[in-house]
Amino acid sequence: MLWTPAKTEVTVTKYIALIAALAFSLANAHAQLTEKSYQPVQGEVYPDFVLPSVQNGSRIALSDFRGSKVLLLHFASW
Amino acid sequence: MWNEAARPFLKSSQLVVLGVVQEQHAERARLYAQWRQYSWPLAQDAVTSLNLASVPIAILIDEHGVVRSRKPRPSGLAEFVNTKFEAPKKPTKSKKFRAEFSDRTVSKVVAAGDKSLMWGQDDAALNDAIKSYARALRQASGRGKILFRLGVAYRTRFDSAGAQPGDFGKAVKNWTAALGADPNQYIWRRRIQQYGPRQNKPYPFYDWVDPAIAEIKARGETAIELRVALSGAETAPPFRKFVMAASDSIEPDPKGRVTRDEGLIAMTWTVVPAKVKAGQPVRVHIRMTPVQGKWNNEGDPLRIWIAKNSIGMTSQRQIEFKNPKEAESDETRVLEFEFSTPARVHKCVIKGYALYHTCVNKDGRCVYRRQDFSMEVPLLPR
Repeated sequence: MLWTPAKTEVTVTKYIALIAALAFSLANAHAQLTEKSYQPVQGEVYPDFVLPSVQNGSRIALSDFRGSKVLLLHFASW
Repeated sequence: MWNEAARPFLKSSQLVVLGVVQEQHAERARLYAQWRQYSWPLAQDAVTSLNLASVPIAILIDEHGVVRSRKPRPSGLAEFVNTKFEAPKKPTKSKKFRAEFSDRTVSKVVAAGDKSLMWGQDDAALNDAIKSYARALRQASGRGKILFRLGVAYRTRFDSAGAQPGDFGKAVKNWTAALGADPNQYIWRRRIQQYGPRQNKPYPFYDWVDPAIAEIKARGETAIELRVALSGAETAPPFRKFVMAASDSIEPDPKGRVTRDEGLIAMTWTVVPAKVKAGQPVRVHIRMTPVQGKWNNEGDPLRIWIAKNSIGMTSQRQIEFKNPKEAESDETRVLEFEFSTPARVHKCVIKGYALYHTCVNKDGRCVYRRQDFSMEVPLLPR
């Protein structure tokens, strides 16, 4: 089989396309992964957060309550 | 339920209750807490930065910060507070809430947007938040979490003194796109439903407000004042079937003889959701703001007529805005109606006009004016 420059060009193009497709699908997989929401896990430390208070806009951090037992309620007013 | 169950342990300082509320308007959450007599701290997560997909969620966290129960029952609180938990032998690293975006730059830009939106005190901070989210979106197109945040930022600006034309429409557009990116996000879905058609609503959302205010007043307290008035969509009860307007309404200006408005009153509209499949309903929010005139409240009330040649079905053929008591006023007026798009069309257009009495600022003349509209409801590809 003869190895011509034209064939090399086609093969290289195919490889580039394959790599691009692979990179795209990996990026997509990552995008899918990162859309996932957080699920609390029993036995794991709950992630700290800092949010404004609805009462006065002051800072509320979960870590401020370390040392106390906490009932954390996530809810909506709608 | 939890408030009652926790009360004795709060009193004995054996427990701390911390609330995180998914609410864009802080004073609505404050009113809710006042009504329910919550004495504990309540934090606001307007942009779902904690990355939860649904609420309500109750979690018991021990003195070391470890989750001990993620589906507790109120009856189990006593056991929880009376148990002494051992500190974890190995310090476990907690997972982060923050969405791991495709790269660090995007994460930083989103974090900057969150900071501006959550902690900013003025319109400049809001504009910074919008810029940050828009920039993050350019770098990571189509990401639901950024789209939702951008929607919240636009809606927040819409409710502020620095509101810009189209802000509410942009909020709805971004929320609709966010939900398109993740249809399982319950919190985002609720945000669209809050302003959307009754057919899509699971419950009325803010019907608790009036009874809550009455109850608070009956207790002898002053109820927290809502900065942003509730829209009709936010209190309307759900309805499973689209109810078409009666066909016997008489068109007020069939021949179009009333003089067209020359820029005295500005009219804008927002269709919710921003895009629908043909055959689905939308809720239309029309806003009318005096620009070079004032409302003249001594004549017939402002009314909107939905033309019979609109493509689809309307819930109301004519919508009226009740005149305030003052002879003249300059408030923005919001009128809402619902519209069902036909099942087999590629394009859906709602046509109609508004009729109103207005007095010209420049010379005090009081005139009767008409303003026509033609709004296209964007349809998703079939």
